[in-house]
Amino acid sequence: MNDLSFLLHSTFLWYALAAGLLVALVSGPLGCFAVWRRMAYFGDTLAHSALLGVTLGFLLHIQPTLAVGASSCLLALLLVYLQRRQHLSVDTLLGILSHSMLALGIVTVSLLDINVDLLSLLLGDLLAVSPQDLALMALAAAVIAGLLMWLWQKLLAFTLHEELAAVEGVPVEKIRLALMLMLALLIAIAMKVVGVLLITALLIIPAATARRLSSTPEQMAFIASAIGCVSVILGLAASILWNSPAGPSIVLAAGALFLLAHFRRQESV
Amino acid sequence: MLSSANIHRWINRAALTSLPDPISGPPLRRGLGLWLTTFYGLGVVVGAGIYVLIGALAGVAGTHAPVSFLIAGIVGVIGPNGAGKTTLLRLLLGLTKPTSGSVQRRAGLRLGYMPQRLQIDASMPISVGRFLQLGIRDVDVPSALARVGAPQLTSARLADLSGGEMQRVLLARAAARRPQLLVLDEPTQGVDLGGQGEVYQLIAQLRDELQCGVLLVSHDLHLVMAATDRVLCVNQHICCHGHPEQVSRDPVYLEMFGDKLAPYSHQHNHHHNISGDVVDDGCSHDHDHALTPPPSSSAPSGSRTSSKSDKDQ
Repeated sequence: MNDLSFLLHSTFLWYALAAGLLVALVSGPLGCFAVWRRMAYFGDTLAHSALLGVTLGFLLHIQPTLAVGASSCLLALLLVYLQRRQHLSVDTLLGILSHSMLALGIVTVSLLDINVDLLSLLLGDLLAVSPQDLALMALAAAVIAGLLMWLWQKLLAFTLHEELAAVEGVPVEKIRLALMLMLALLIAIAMKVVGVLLITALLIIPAATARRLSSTPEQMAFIASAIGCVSVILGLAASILWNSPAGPSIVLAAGALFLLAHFRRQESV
Repeated sequence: MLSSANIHRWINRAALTSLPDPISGPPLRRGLGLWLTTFYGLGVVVGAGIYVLIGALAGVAGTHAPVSFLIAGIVGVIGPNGAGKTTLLRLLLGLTKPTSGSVQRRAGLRLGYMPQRLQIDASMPISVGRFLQLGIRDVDVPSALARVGAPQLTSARLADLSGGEMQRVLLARAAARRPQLLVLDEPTQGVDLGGQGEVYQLIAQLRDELQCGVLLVSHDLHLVMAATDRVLCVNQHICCHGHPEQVSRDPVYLEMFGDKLAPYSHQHNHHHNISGDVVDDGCSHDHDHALTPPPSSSAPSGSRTSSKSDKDQ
């Protein structure tokens, strides 16, 4: 009992909780777009490039979250550019980029002999979130939330039919870019929470769970956020109670909620 | 409803205004909405409003003999696969940039676009009503859907619609913008035979209601011949154009489609209220005909039928 009250009074737990909730809140609506537009692989690609971002940050003495944010934004831009030029299908393109970036990251780490904690990078290090990290994450989350609210209708129109949206005056290319940059930012801040390996899970699972419970796009976005938050709380609790790794516990909680939602009858909209 | 007298009034009125040369003439005159200077070496001018005006350089690229002609109402673009039908349409819509030349649109031209199909991920929970609102925020959903004969769909889930229902919803969204030019890409794609005629009837109804030009691309030869006011037959260049009946007798057209069309030559979903030449409400000339002649011979005039006559009633 003493242990628990000690834990509840320690700041690192609250920082961890705040960081997890922040990421879960914005990954809800973004995850919906990832599901609707079938961009799961895109999230993976950005996540795989995070290692390279971390090494670059290490070399240039930049804060890792910032470095990953910048490198995944660059990768997102590269992808938008390549998509327009190349005649390869998007998933092939993503496969090429994803694994080249990961390999490049690993090679750089070993060649430069940088001391990077690979495990915390891959699985997240939620309990080590610093106030500085938290401030950066809050900033990124605020940018994403602002963009989402501002562009929501256009994002929906774009998701339903790009060409129809274009004819109706939606600046399709800008919207595509905005969506990719938002995802890149999210990857940068989610890396700390669930780690590179599991970022896509945090993006996809709450949204997929929300699908069964919602009848409008907005509802689905909100429910996905809520499910993400519940997963973060459950995962953190499990991590504290049983000393399990925080990131994977959060993903497991999300997976369990997804299974639970399946027992509920699907609403007919 | 469609009245052939109306169409002919439009055609006659349009015929009185001579078209500028599509290349050298001033591009934005007399309601010309779009000015497209390059399309596989062709110049095409499409205007919107009551008339759709198309001026083209006829013949193969390189001959550069400017031909201007007028089109009122519904213009159907036909041609074999790879002919450039969709390219033409995408150029006009601004979805594709021309490799050379330019596409100019009248400022503020309101376009309505009905894409070939809408592939929606089943994970997207969105109702038909909301889908229409995404196109135009203050749309009156029930009346927009009633216009296409699908008022019961307001709260249906978009992902659950059948092919025919989806086409109606897409048409409703395009029409709800009150377009001056309605552009339809394969409007009967995925619609069963019975539904196809209905879709074309809806299009004709929209043309009259919205007083807009309609440009549609379709593979569905006999329906296009039956349901459009003008036909533009393309195959990398504009092969022939004119009234459907006129086009169906054009040697170029017959060479392109003749043998394929033979089995269809008597499939019309209309009544013959007058056999032989069409004479109706004071029009002195023929209008569109559904009948396509056998491949080898030109259509005998005695077998002409009116495709519009059924809709007049």
